[in-house]
Amino acid sequence: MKCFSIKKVSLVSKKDLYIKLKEATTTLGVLRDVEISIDRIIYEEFEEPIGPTPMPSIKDLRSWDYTLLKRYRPFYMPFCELCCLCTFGKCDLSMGKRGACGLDMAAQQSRIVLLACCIGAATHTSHAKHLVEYLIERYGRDIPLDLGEGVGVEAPIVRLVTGIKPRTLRDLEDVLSYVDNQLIHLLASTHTGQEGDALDFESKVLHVGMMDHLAMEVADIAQISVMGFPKSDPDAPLIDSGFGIVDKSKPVIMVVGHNVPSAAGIIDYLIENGLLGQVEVTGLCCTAHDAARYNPRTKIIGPISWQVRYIRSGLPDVVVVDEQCIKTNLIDEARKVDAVFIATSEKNCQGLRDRTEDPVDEVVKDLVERREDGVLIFDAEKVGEVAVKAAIALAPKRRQYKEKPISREAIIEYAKRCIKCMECVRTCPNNLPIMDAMGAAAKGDLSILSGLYEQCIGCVKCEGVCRAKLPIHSMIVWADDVFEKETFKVRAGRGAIKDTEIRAVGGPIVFGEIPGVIAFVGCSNYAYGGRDVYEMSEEFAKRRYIILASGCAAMTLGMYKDEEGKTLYERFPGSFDAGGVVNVGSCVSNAHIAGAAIKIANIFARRPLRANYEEIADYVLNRVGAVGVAWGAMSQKAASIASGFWRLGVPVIVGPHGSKYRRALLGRSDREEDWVIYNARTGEKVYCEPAPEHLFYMAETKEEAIVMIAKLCMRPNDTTKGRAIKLSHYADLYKKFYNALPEDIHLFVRTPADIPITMKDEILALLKEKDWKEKTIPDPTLLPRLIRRRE
Amino acid sequence: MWRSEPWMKAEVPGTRRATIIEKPELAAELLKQGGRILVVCGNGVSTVLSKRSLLDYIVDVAEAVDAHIATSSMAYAKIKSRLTNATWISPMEVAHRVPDPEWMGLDGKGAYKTMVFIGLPYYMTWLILTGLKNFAQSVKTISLDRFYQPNASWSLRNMNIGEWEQFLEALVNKLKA
Ligand code: SF4
Ligand code: SF4
Ligand code: SF4
Repeated sequence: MKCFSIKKVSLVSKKDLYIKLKEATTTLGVLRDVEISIDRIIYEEFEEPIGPTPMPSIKDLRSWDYTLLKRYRPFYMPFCELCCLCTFGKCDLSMGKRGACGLDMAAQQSRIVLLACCIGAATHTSHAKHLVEYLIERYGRDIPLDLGEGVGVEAPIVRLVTGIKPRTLRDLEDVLSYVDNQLIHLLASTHTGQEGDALDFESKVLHVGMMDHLAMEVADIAQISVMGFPKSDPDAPLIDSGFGIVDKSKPVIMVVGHNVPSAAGIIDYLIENGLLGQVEVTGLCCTAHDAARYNPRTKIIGPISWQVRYIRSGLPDVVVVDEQCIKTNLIDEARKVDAVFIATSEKNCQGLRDRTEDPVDEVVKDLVERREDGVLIFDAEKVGEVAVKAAIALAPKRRQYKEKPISREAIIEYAKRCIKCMECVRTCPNNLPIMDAMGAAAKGDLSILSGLYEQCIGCVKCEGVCRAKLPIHSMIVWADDVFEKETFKVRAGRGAIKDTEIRAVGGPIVFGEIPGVIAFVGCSNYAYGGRDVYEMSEEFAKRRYIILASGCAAMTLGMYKDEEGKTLYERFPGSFDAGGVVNVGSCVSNAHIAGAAIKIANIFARRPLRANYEEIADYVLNRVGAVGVAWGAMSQKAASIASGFWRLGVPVIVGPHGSKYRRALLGRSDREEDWVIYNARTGEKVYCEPAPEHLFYMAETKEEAIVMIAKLCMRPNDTTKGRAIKLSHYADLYKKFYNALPEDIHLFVRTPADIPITMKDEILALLKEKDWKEKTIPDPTLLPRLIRRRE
Repeated sequence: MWRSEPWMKAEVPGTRRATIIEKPELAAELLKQGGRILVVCGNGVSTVLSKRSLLDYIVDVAEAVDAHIATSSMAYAKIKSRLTNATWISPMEVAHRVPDPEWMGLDGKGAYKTMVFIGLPYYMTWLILTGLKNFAQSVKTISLDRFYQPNASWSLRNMNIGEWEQFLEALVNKLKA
């Protein structure tokens, strides 16, 4: 007997035996959108019909990727010209040579980009899985997802990519099963003798980026829903930040990494035992963001680049590490100042003994009496108790470490030992003039040394090569101790953008009247210091762009003050509106930035969302003036986050160090044929304009980045009023730095009404010079299926 | 030995390394015979040396060999005020166009035969040069920075600022002679 006739099936994971049926004819009748897992059947109550690409595999969005990659072609910069990934090698791939497996240089570079992005996406996925498992263990599978009042579309990326409308933690497990499955295929493509085409590798890079965004969204909506984080709250609390906020008289715990349960365990223990406020909980990197979202009395010390200087300050009695971006020899730094070290993640065991099952007091005793430098504990609650008890016991014994670790006199004496070998300068990633600074310091002038503080990213590579064994990083940090007294305010990560906010600003964004949405994201590997990020965001906030921020960049934004002593978070509102400065939260909160772009297409423009990736990405690319800026991007996660944005049609700008990602995705404004699109109104193919001009761009200076941000916010759909506003910012910023009109401004003037009134005469003169011709403003799309009428 | 090593120690190149330009005479000769030349400048060209600014030397070099300057640095306004052959464009973008055999250059007059680099962060130049080395093999690249750039076709060796200024001064004199 035939029970089912099946039209479309997606098998998501062997383990769960999860099957999706687009349409099934059964003896009971025709069933649509049935989802079956091993022990349950989900009858979708999702009112929206399923779109064309539910849970796409690598090949399903390949044609969209090729559309993008044809316009934004890769420029490869082989950071390494050899390949040593298999025993056929090493292979020299330079200057047109191929490896023994047949691979050429372009394919090898894109393969390495794919590998990096797989690492990034796997890391977010693993993080999300751990969080979801932890929350299910504590609260059960059926805990509902709740992103707060005004958020109807709770998981725009999940809905868009998978077609699932998640309601509970259980549904998030299904999403992660799909991501797991895709990641395995993507990673497998990098094996020797597998994919061989650079553009196909690039398509997979975009696919893995999309997986990364799914994983980030799952992680953040799970923790927001269950852990009491701010729920889409524009008035999320302002968190104390900086070195100066630590009360030295109290025991101090430092948390660092990205995955919040162990930090939450510490806070829970303090609350349950009436100790909150008596022990300082201080954090760095994204764990600090998320711990502050969990409890606003957490103090945010600073970004990832401050790990070593914070431990060397002697302030933390206990160092608790979870996962991602943690300096892997932090335990050595903790040992030097007699702080104890607790590792908490299976992914980061540090060679330590697993003490998860041992009695708390025994573990604490071993730590405090220095029988062990550190321990490994996988139970977040136990981490909380051990960390607090150890900090309380240790603090009185460690008072001597909490004063300035290196005196002015000691710095001068050290500097006299410099043998001027230049090893430090040639090793420092920012090429800081350390040797010259040592020369001046030896004569008693510490100003050059202290001047390096802002640009020092805390990698400590200089110390490893110094032939005189000088504590160079510490000398730079304590050449002046102003930073020790500095305090700032960082608004706690608010999470998602409300549907109501999207309704209010969707129109002005799509028509161009709010000139752009700019997201400052990523790590703190800044080439010239964090001030660049602050100045860029201030420039655009004052111009009433919408500023979003996440991760270390969101901390950096809060670490500079105006003349009145106020940080950006105190000067600008936290709402998703013109002139808002919005901290969405940690790295995984980047999902809300992509989510906001998606929601504009769905909520404002009413484009179908469910499993309708191409159409939404086409909408975002052509209509939503959003740009990501990862000025200090360092990690593989940053690479996969960026690639998720590229596929969605959001350009990303990185700082100088970002060139080490080894490939740019650049448009060619000089090739008209690259900018031909469909006018959806008529079906006509028309030359439109090079907007947005690039998808992945590396800027040398903040000024270059500022001008490029303003340019990349332009979209073919801008109304004339909106375009005039965007052009006035672009031209004004360019003039400010380069004292002239941008030479390509004629490319972005479509009709005379686009010209900003205040610059009319000079722009008209330039248009005449360039032999400019008026263009029609199309209803832009790159997808033939979206043409409404063919002529 | 350190003179001919990559300035940033970990930036170890592949199997083909730049030939060192020991003398200004050789640099002058390479530039004179360089065909259509594009000079790519980074923000470092605003550095003031003991006699003149680096920018003065570079503009002199560009003028002497009728080169076009490409830059997105803060020096652009100054360069443009002295040289009409200058375009605001990012070095990465320009390098992206060079491998295209149909590209007619920033002035539309034809492909470049030689590209000169100066003033970008060391690692950025390193990377752009490896892109050109591998994907634009017909273009000769010259680094005039004071640090050895192994991925160029020709590079100066590592030198101190005084030596570098002397080199640039002599180069300008040779080109003008
Ligand atoms: S993977 Fe290919 S290029 Fe790499 S070492 Fe093996 S054979 Fe050579
Ligand atoms: S710690 Fe600072 S000074 Fe030392 S190498 Fe790293 S960035 Fe340079
Ligand atoms: S590595 Fe050490 S000894 Fe050598 S120049 Fe730098 S500070 Fe001086």
